[in-house]
Amino acid sequence: MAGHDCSRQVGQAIDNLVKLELVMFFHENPETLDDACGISRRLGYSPEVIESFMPELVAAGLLMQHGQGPGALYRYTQDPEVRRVVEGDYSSRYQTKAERRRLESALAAKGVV
Amino acid sequence: MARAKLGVAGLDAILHGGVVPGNAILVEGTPGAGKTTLGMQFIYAGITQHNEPGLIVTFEEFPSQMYRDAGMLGWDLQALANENKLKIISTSPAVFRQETAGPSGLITQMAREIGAERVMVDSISHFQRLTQDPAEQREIFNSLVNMLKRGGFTAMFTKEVKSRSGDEVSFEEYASDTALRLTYEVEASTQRARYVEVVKARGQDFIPGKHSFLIGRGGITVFPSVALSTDDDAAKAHIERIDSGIPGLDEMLHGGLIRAWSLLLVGPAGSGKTIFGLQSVCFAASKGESCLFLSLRERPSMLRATAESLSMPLGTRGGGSVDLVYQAPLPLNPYALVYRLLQWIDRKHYTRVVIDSLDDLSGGLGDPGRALSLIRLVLDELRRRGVTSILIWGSRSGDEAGTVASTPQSGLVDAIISLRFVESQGVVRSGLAILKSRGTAHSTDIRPYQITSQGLSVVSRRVTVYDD
Repeated sequence: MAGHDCSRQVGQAIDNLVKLELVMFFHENPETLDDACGISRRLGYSPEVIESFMPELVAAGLLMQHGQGPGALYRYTQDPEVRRVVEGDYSSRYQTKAERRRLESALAAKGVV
Repeated sequence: MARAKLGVAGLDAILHGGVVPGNAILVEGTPGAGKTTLGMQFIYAGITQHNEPGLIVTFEEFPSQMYRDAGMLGWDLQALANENKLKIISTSPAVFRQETAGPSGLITQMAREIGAERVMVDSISHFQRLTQDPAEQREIFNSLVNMLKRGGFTAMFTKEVKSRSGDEVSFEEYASDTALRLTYEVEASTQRARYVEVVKARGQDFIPGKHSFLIGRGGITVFPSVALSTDDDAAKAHIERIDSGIPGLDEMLHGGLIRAWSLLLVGPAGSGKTIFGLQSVCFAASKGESCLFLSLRERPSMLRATAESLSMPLGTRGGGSVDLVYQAPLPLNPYALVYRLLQWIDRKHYTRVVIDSLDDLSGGLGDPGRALSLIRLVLDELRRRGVTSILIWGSRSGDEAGTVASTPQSGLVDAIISLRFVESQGVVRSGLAILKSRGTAHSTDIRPYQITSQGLSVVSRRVTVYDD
């Protein structure tokens, strides 16, 4: 996937704060292998909330899924291009509180929180 | 037998070189005791010192936090992960169990990808999430240990304990090959200190007891609480009489001190103990010896002023030297200081050392048994190195000769000299007595001594003035 397309695809997939937090969690902890229940415990959301957003992140190539149903396991993408996009477009802007607020405001402005 | 070094200075020495490769090592401890740090060090040392890639499995702490914390200890785990020598896997106990159960498990594959030889699981306390039934928990842990052994991994598991009263034994200790207990204890009611104890090491010998450790840049350093070698050939080689540097005293000792002896110098405040110590090392330096005065009480500037007022210039002279080192008694890890002292001795070849004072050094430990063990360690290591030591001990009054001679520490030293005040006919006088001189004849007199601008000297006559 070309850099620009990849960036657009990732941007379309990360359209709310929970997805942003999920992607950042996997980006910062790239060897995570867990089910929705385990991930929900790490992030403080309910398993249902996590489960509801996973299919879109998997479809966008941000996460990998092993197995189906409640026992499905998730890992971060192994695609270096996607990781580079997340690093450049999100991770570097996620480091300071002010940048984070701006990023979150931008997502909130999209209307889906 | 081959050993897998844990990579923790001091701890490998306690284990006589490390653990048997392929062992399952349990690390139990209270919060803040250093379990995760020990586990990370085990993995880091495996990769960097023994070329053994490692896998860390964390059920609670985020890997990103581990990378950050390791960085603060000087370990670049991220670089090792980038080189494919390390993976820090964040997962849940159930997923971990499922994905390590067979050769096609995802975690098994991840371990295979980097050729992992060491595994650290932090912490197995989270297996309680799987079941509350102790029998099932035991079965889960046993199967985990067996799975890792089958894979040929040397594995370390951390386990949280709420408190440790001492004797209770967990089922994980039975199933593990090596069990370490870490504690973070309140000591002398004002500070906390960390200790590690090997409670089990299957198929190998180890040094029992609790050993102090510190966490700092570079990770954990353990300070064995006993001398690692009892070889004292340096001290035994020959009995050599040496001048104490105190006029009149050598005659009372029937020829002077004996090299590599430890002399406990006891006396109340103001009796001249520090002057005695300074004078002895200055004298030895004037004869070409390299000496150290370790002060936990007076600062070097005060000691220098005292020495100069008594015509005892410090520093290098006549081929010898006196180094002054000050260490504030608090905050102090006495074991760390003792090991630093031994490093100085080894580096600068000190032959005469004064510690002012032994009660300041061991006082921070609170527990009398532990304080005695520290003193034994100091004496054993100094003797082994052939160092003559003067250990100053403050007493409350001048009438403690009998008490001092019967204290446990008195049995450890070779000689005891008491400085005391005696009030007689409205005058306070100073008297010196030799309470002990191991296996050698000595004067049993109490002789007066004086401190003048030339230092401390014993008056070479027996006096009866103290008798009322």
